[in-house]
Amino acid sequence: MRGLPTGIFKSLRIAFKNLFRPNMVIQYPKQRAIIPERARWAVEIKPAQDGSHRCQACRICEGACPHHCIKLDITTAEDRSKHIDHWWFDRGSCMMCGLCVEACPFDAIRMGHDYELAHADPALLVLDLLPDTPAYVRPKPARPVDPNAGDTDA
Amino acid sequence: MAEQLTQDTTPDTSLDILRDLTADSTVEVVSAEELAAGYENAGWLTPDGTPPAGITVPRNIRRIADDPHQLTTDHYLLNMGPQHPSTHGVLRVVLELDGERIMSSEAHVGQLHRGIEKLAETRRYGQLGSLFDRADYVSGIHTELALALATEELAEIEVPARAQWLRVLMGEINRCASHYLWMGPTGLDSGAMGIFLFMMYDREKWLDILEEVTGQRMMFNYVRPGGVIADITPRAVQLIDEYLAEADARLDEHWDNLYESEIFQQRTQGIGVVTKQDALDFGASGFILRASGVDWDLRRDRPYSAYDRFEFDVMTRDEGDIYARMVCRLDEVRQSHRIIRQCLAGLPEGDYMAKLPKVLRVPAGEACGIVEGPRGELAVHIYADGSDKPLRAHIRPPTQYALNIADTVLPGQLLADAIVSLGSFDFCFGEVDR
Ligand code: SF4
Ligand code: SF4
Repeated sequence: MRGLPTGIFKSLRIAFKNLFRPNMVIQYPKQRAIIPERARWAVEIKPAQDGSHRCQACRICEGACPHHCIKLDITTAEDRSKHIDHWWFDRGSCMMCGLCVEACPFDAIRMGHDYELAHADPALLVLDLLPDTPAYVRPKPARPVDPNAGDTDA
Repeated sequence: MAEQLTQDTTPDTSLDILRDLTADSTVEVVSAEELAAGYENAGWLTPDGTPPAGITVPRNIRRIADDPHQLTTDHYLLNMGPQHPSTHGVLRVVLELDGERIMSSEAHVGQLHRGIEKLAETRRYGQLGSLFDRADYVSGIHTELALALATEELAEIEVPARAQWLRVLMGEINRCASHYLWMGPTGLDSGAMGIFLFMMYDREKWLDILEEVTGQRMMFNYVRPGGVIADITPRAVQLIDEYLAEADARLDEHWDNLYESEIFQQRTQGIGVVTKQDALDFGASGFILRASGVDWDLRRDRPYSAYDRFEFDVMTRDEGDIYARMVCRLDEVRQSHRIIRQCLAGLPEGDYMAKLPKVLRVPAGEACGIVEGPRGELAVHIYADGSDKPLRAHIRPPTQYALNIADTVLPGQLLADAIVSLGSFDFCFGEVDR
């Protein structure tokens, strides 16, 4: 070593300076992290303004999910109205990629902001988001439109 | 067990051919019986350090040299390996020791193999990003970007200017975050605890910004073929501005704190030296190459995205040791700050995503997207057959090539330096094992 170890004293000075800096960590159970608007946690049903859901049981999200963690059980009545028996969502195998939300043409689901998702029992990770619910039916527009062209208002 | 082994072995004739082929090398070819005998006689070295007559060394153990008399102590194999199967990103290194000096090392990879390349064949192009994020999980943006570049080349997609700039911006932020996750722990490996925590502060700041823009802290799924999924938000701009105001001063502080410390210098200078020739021979790239004196950076030499519009310097060092790599990366973070500033100042207006069909079909052909990731040249090779899924996708992980250098760098070092030497290559086993 050449000369005095001045570098070590520099480190010590910086460590001392850091003693008086504000706290960098948050005290988790007492304080909560600020979650940005876009943060992606588990999928949840996005309520409309009146609190009801907007899922039309089209199953596009099922096909969009790379991990197949969404599964809809749907009964179609004789008048072709749909009834959602179960809206299974396997939170344990969801990787929070957001592809299902991007794919949903009716803006019926969103990525939630609840980050306390751990459970001791894996069975509790499979959720039924819409148990036994009739599928949403869009109010008929005033003039008839081509059913293939509608519903893609971006 | 010996019988079972005998049944699956190649006949003696091919064994003889193998023996002839490897006659000059230090690798010993043994038959299954000999192998079993070798294992049965686990204590196969006589007290004076020579193998007893008639016993062959199991083939998977690399010999130091032809002459075991080189050893000054007992022959000793140390398995430096994963402590627990659920640890992420683990490497197993078998070290052959002479006392405290490493005589040979052999890396065993594959503990984190998830079959990403095979899985990619079952996913549509739009879904691949979330998979490739998990290859190099510390710098997801860069793998996504390489994938997007390859797909865009095949499908001939025009990417809007704003998307190009946003890719550069997020890529550089991710590069800073990734560099901090390496510089801090390298300090930790060499005995400096505080610097790790100080650098995590900077990394957290960058991760907060990434989360604000992309929605996640590590698995972004942000860069897609055709652009990026979301625009930058005013809050993100504010966060970047706030942090950049103190960023360079913090780098100076890190320099004083760690790089000027004599203890750190003694632990890292002249240790883990990769010569220029070795770096070139083994296909090293990125900071390893630049720390060994090769002036090569894809961002400048083969610009992709919008990198030809930015002004920055490529930092090189000549020593090739751990300290040089550390300095190289600290300087790179400073250059990244420069690029981020230019990005914010000149971000063009317009769309951030090209108009694409919902299910992207890519014409048959092959294309390779290459980017300068934080760890080196990262390439994604796509072989398309005209459907909506790739026929084959391959990732070229830069640190896999660096891993080969480690086997030549470690021998001759002290065991105590092995960790910091290995760590200094910044392996990311997510991408090595894939
Ligand atoms: S959530 Fe959206 S995509 Fe999924 S079934 Fe309901 S409406 Fe269709
Ligand atoms: S976030 Fe991704 S993994 Fe999770 S349900 Fe949606 S598409 Fe599937």
